[in-house]
Amino acid sequence: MPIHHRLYRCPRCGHDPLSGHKGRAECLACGTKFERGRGAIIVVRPPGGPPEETSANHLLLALKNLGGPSLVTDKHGESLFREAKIALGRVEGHDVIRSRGEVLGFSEKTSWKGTGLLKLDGGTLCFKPDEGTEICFRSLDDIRGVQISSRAVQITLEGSRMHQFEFLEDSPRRWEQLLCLSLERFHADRGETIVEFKPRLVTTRDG
Amino acid sequence: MSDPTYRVLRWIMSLYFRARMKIRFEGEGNVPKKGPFFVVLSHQSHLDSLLLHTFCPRLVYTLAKSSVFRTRFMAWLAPKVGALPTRCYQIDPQAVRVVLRMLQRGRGVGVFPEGERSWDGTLQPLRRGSIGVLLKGGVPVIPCGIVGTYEVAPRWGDMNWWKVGVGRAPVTIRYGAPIHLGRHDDRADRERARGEVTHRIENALRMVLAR
Repeated sequence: MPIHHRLYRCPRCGHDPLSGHKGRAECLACGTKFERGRGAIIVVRPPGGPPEETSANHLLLALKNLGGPSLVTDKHGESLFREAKIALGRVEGHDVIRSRGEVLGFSEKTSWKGTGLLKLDGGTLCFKPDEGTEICFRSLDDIRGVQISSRAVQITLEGSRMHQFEFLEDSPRRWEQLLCLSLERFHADRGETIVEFKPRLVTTRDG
Repeated sequence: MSDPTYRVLRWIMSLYFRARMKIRFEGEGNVPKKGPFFVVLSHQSHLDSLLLHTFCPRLVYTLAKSSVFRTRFMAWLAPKVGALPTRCYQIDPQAVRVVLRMLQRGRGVGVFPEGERSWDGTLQPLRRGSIGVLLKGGVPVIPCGIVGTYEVAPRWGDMNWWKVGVGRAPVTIRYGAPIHLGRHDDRADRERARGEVTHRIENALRMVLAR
């Protein structure tokens, strides 16, 4: 995962997003540069200051203290809204994995449905393909699981197969956190707490 | 399962890892010499399962996400080196069946109860399904901590085999005392035991992960 996807906001000034490529990232607001050092070390180069080596966890904590994925504030108050360019995939079947004739398990076959814009707006999640009509994944109530892989976020819907959103520009980690946050809010409004997001959403009733 | 291929690759990988890292072993005597067992580990890096497969005193089989098996080559190779596929976006009863089959054959099975690699190197909440499998298995559970792999190859960093462990980074593979959970065949019985067992396994993992 490129460093500007892991640290999707500037941990120093909170500017969103960070821009970058692979092991380097830069904040266009404050000018701080971040570079992958050895192992889990990140080298921070503030403008005009000496470079300092810091643990990635230290920066992640700073990001968490800034509130994680940034929220949009409008006349209705704080809301979750974001759009990102993605390639949409869907699991269409499975290959059987065998060893010496014995069935060990299954590996999913993903078919790609093209690229487009994924839009999260409060309680709805929609995909607008580059060509064709918009598909809405019903309400957040239908999401049965959320998980992240290295480049993509996968959601499982009620009565449907797994969908994979491969992010072409935005950070999958940010989207995983955004989706989890919106699901937490959605279920909290119904008096439920989410105990587990993956492989299946598990909730408990409050009180 | 092809043990000869597994043993040859274990030897090759042990040469690679010993050349790249300063590996220390603790509590290897806690791994049973014979009979079925579980090894539970905190998942902090890509390297954890490779190190376990390479250096565990007994051959172990671990559950790997099904996407690893996507190409023909990997679908052929991975089972030969002890990887068992599991679909991580859904509850996978076939994976549970295969794990129980391995235990019946007297094998060791490695389980990462957090279900995915940690983003920050800390222990994450343990998944209900993983605890359920441990309770269903009813065999000794050996907590194992592989300390130092997050610092070598964190989840968020791109994996570069030429740069892994440059400077011979220290890694400790530590096995804790076996935990006997007893067998819980009944679903209601597993539900009752889940909370306490989760707590026990978490505490055991924290102890073996201590620096």
